[in-house]
Amino acid sequence: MIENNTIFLIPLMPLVGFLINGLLGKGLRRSTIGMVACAMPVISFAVALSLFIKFSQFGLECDLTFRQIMIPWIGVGSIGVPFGFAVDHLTIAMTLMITGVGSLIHIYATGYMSHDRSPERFFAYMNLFMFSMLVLVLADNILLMFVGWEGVGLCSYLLIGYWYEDILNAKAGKKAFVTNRVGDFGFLLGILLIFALMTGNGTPSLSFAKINEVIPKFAPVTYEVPVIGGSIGAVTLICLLLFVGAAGKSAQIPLYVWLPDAMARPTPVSALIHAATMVTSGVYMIARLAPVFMASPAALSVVATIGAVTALFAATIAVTQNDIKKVLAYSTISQLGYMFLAMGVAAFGAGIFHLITHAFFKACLFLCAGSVMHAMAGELDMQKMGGLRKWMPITFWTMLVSTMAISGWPLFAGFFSKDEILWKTLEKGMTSQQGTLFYVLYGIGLLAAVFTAFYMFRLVVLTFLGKPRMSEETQKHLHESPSSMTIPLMILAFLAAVGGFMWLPGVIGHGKFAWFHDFLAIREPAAHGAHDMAGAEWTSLALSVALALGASGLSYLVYTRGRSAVEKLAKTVYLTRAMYRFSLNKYWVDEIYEAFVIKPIYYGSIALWLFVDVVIIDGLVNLAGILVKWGSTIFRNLQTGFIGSYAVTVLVGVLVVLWYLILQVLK
Amino acid sequence: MEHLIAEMKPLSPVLIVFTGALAALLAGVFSKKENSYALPYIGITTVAFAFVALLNYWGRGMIWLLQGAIRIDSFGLYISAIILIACLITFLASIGYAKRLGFEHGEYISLLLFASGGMMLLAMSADLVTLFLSLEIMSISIYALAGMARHRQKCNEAALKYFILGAFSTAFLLFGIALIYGATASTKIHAIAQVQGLKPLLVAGLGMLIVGFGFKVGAAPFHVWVPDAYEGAPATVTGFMAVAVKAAGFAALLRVILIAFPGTWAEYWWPVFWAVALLTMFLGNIIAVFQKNVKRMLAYSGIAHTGYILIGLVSLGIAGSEPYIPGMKALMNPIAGGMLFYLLAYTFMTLGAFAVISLAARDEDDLETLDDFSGLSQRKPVVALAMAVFLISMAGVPPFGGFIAKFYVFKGAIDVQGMLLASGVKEYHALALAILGIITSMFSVYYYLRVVWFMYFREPLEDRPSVAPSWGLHFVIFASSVAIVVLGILPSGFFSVASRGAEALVR
Repeated sequence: MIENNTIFLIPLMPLVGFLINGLLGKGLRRSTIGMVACAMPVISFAVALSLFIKFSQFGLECDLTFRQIMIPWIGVGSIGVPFGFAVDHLTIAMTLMITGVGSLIHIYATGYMSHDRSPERFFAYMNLFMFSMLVLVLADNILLMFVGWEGVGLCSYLLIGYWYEDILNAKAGKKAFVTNRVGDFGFLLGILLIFALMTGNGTPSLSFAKINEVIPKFAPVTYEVPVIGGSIGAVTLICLLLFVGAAGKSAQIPLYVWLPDAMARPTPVSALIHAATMVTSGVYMIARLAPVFMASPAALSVVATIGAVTALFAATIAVTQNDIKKVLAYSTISQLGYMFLAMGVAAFGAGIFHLITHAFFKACLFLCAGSVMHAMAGELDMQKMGGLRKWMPITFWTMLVSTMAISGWPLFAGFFSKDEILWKTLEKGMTSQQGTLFYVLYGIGLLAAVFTAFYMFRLVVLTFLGKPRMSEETQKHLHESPSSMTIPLMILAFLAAVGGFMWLPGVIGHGKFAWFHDFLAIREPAAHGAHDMAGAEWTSLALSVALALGASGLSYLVYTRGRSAVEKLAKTVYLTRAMYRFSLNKYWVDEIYEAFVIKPIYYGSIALWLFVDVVIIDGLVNLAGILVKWGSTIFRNLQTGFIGSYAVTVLVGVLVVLWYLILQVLK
Repeated sequence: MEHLIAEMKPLSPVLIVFTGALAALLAGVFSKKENSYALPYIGITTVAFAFVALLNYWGRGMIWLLQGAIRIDSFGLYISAIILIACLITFLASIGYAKRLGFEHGEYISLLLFASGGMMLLAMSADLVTLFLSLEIMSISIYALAGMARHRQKCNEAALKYFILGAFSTAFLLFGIALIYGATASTKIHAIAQVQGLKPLLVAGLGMLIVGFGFKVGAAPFHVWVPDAYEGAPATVTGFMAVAVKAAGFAALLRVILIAFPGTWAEYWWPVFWAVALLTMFLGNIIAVFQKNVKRMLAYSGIAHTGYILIGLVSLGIAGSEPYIPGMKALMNPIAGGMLFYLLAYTFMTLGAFAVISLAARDEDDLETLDDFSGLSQRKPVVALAMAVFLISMAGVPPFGGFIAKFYVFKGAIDVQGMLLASGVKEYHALALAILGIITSMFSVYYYLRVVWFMYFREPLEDRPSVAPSWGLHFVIFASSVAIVVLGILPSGFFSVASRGAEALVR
């Protein structure tokens, strides 16, 4: 632990930006608002970079934590929770990504939002989001993390419903908020259980360092499960509750439904919140509490399974969507699934690696989509695009690079990170006792990768290649976006292309070109005899490459040449038609939730209102009121105003008092 | 003579007040009618001097005067301070008001000062004869004050009723004193406890005293005079009656009951007060619910407050009758301190509320029906806000003084109950009283908030021309609301002063 008193600047700057634009924004000029909003994350990035340089001075493999305790925050009984920040390797990686990608997106937004009516509100929310996200990441205790966690949820809600004049946007914001509440409930229960165990152990602290040290010791403790019977480990229960929170925030099955709807927001928000940063906070939380999760193999298996299934499930939906942002939304859910798969196989470093590369290419993809929308006057339907390459070369090329990255083309960032996850899964299958599960998950992961390459190339082909399908009128207005938008695109595309070289696979780099792996230094189980399995790793690599390239090529062929054949297939053959329908309608999950969750709660609450509230509670309250009214009327009439009756009242009182006292004395 | 003067020196606060009363009376007679505006300032100056003299004796221990007829101690000084505050507020609020109602005479100032002097003497009396005399100085002044606005029929009626019933109850008090003297051959309050007199006679005297004091503090079933007198009397006088008479009455009650009948004597009196407190809280709160006249509503609410304060006395009685329980004695001083704190908080909120009422609605009537309060927040926003503070404080809602006062009193009862249960005594009288007190105070929220509702959610009625209130009235309303907030937020300093005050009765 090294004290460092500059950490607080990182979250403080965006807060300052929020206050300036939020309080004074109405009176500021458009350019000033944008300048303030962009300057703050850039300064934060610079501070984070200076911290990173300090880390490298100590040597990258040296396991350090910088810490800054601001003020005591909550002191109740034996527990004291400070308002404190802690920065270790994991944190600084996240912080650099958030402030770096965040700054680029802010710059992009100054161009994208140039025609908006109230930019000060938009940028105030964006900066507030940056503040909350940085608090979430930098927090040195789980309670402060929860503050940031709720803060980002709030900002997400505010920004999804940013164009609130449209009721659909407001509804999407509400859906995101309510779905996240379900997850947050689990997270909060997990925190409370941690708190109970920590105080019970005599170490009343909620700092991550202490939690990671103490909680794994509770692995042998089990709780009886009432009603169902059986028992559950204390640590497993904590991990599952925390994972419910992570699944809500990071859009995993079954709580992913809010993310596609949330595409109503301005596109920079999609790129910042719902691709690069906020949705990854669930992954970050698990990585932060890695030792706790390591203590519960059962919970890890659940995490891995949910992650892999989500990866495939979302990818199959993305294949048939026509809304360009919906495709990217399902793609995000799918990629987050990969990250959870990595967490579940205890490959925490690989998961964070994918988180970072995903931030590069997915932010780039969203911003490209935004650039397309900007040119097409808000059009989202890919069926009405096509041939845009001619008008928007920069957007096309950057998008193509990012697409190759996400599809896993060799040497692009996504190839290295995704392949690392798949390989770790396979390795786990080969080494652990319950190998079958992980072999199956590996297969699911591969299949999802095939779908990923397919739908991403479908997107690029439909949007940029082929014949233009938009109206003549629209074609006249087509233009490349301004440089404030294209420069961030190029930077992100560059990172998407080369970002993978931070961590080369073991068989290629032989452990030498993997500084990011060393840097993260999250305790992972040592790979048993990695060299013996070099052959397997090579095979896995080759398989991924072949599938990625094959699926990309197939997609290209299908959507440039054989569209009519595919459409015929989707409409005639019984099996393919059914599959097409399932995918297009997103497996009717929203409808199922509506029928089995939302409607019962809705009608249940109406019943509670009409019976419990109106009849019982209001009835009791009114009854009390009526009784008092009667009493009041009776007693009021005793106050006649006649002095004689008053005197009699007093006299009766005197007699009763005397009678009682004399009886007492004589007793 | 010199010896006498030296001995009378500690009595200077009371003597200053009486001197001021005489000066005001003479000034009233010899000054012209145009100069009558100066009269309240005589009163204000007198009170200020008396207050300084009083502070001079705070913390000097107890001083016996006039062969033990008077004892100047922290309790008497605390109550005297409350009375002087009440008197000062009444003077300030009367500026302008008295003229409008046509009683801006020297007698008004003089009578207020005489009443205050009598009350202070009452709080310091150590002898039943002195006590009775000072009670009469107070009562007769108040009877006259209640009828001050001669042109109002209701006012005359109120004064007459108050006088007749007052005489009726004073008879019981005097009879009680006579019985006690018969039983113990002494009128010294501090001596009665030591005398092994005729027990039945003594207890009958105790009962008579309870009735007499119960009348003065407005405890049921001896409260019957309160609604008519409060409603009829001019608003400033009503405020003074409600606060100062109650404070003085409680002073006499507490001193006589706790000093003359301490310890296990309490087994006789606490059940009586238990029943009285319960009846007082219930009747006061329930009847207040449907009053359309705010003055009358405040009269019933004043009765209810008496009930809450009596909870403290019952707790003291229960604690005193179980002297063998360890730790019980330590509870007694905070309970008595809580009662005295309650009187202080009650002073500000009641006088503030009556000051608002004395703002004219029509030419010379008080602002007293609920309709008069309609839309007050639009006509006089600051006054309406202050009134809301007073009423919400009376309802016992934080962060105002009324909440803290109720909290101390209820907490005292619950502490005593906890101590009883801890030592294995399975009787629940204290707890029951606290719970019933809380339930009845829930009723009170309705009628207090109803006034607030009228002020804020009703449109103002057209035919309510308003008179510009004087600076004194504004100052009183402002200062009282500030005091209520301060008492609610920083109560501990005031509570420790109140506990010092209570040390003279229970340690």
